[in-house]
Amino acid sequence: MNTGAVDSLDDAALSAACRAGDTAAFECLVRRHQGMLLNVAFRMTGVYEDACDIVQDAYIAAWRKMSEYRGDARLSTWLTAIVINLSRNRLQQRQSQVRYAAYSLDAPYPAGDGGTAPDPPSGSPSVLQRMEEAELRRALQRCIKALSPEFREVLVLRDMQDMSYEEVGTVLKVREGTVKSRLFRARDTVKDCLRKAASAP
Amino acid sequence: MNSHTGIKRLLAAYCGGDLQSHERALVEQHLEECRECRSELADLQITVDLLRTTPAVEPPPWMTARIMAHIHEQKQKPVWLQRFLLLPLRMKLPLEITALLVVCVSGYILSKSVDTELKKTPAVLQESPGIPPQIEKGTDREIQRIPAPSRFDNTLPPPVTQDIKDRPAAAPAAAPPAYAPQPPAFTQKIAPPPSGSGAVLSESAPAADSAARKSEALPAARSRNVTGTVRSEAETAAPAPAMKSVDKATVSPFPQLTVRLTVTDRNSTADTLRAAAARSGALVLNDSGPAAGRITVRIPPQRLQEFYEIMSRAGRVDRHPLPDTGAELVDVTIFW
Repeated sequence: MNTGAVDSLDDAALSAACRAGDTAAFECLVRRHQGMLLNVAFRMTGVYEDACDIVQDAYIAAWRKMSEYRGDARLSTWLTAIVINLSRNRLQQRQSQVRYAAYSLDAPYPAGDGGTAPDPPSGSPSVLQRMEEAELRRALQRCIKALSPEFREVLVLRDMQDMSYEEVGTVLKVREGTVKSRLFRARDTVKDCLRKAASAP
Repeated sequence: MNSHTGIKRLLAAYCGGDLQSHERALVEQHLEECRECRSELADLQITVDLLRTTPAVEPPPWMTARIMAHIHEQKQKPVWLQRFLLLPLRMKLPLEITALLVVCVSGYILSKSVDTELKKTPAVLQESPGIPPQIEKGTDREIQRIPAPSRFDNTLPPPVTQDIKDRPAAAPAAAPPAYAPQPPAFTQKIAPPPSGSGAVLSESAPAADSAARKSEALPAARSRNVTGTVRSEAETAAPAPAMKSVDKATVSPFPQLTVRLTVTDRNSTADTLRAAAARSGALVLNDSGPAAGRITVRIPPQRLQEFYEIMSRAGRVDRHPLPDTGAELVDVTIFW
């Protein structure tokens, strides 16, 4: 298949072609989802180089395991699950290291604009409103990093990657109810962490 | 559930639009009366919006190509090898350990046999003083059997020089270039000589500075076992011209760069750097061991950035020097 033809195919057709050994189809899948997967890995690990390694390893594993993909979940969900597992492993490895690679605002290829922190509902005093956005974002990364993995995962997948509860549940292999309760606790924890950062001298 | 604590617990769900309509109504009713909860909600809203607007990162331009390179490599491997690579470690490990032991033992045995052969050569050479020192064809064949290491050997052996002292003075004068620091002279003879040893010798004399000939000599520079034993003999002989092992860096035609790496765990750095070199297509030239804190790699300049990126996983890189354009390859020495 030439690259022009594969682009128009959906993931299901592409994965079928991959199972038959079509590398052009696989390349299309790589291009299609690598951005999303990289962001999941980067938001989980906080280290750009690690995230790149994880995405490469994930795709290589996906190629090998393509016969196991039955099409019951979306391909992107399946790939995300691989990335989450690899990210968990990487986080465990790094746990022992003293040096934490902080979220790099100079990540080599940042895309898009962050947008501004919105105004809170009028008439209500917000603690966080006092902080500048850049400072808030730095604090946000530290607070996310401080979360334990299962809370970080739901926050990244739902609030940062905008996945549905159903998808998040499939990726993490938990019920939707569990996803929600973890998510709300994670939001509260991060909010409290940010407030502490805001009130620190 | 109208209590303040109860409502507070719902706020995180409320701010993301995750509540049912009746719960939403309860929360909104409470918010009208509770300033604390309004403040909480405001901050939660900011938090969630920050999360939702976190800037995305872009994948590096080389990532697709790298992944596809791996895939194509995978495809070419025969099925049995793919299965083997995926075998659990407990099955592979004994096989690999056995293979390693076989290689080590054979290497040791061969080096011993070469050692005995080399000890015979001074006697042979004394008989023919006019001819530059060379190893008998028979020994050549012995040495040729030794498997070459796959990477460049940075330290080349000085030639066997016990014979020089014994030979008449005329002989050294007749072939002085050969005895200037000439490791290639020795190692050239170890290789299948292209056209008689005499021609090889004169060719190798000015060849010390020529990288092209050096790369010819290097594959011929056989295993460390040979060089180890020969070197110890040569050093005790202490010839008049200083026989130093040639440092690759002084005769390399490629640009030389140095980088300093700040690490927390010195012991694993050598391994990490070797892995980084393998991933970015670099060749390890000089590995002075994990404790020495220095490693030199040879790498195409277009892959240098990649190498630096992988290296910064291991520690803080002080700078990312890049060579001038036009260099085909570049030598990078990393200190840590």
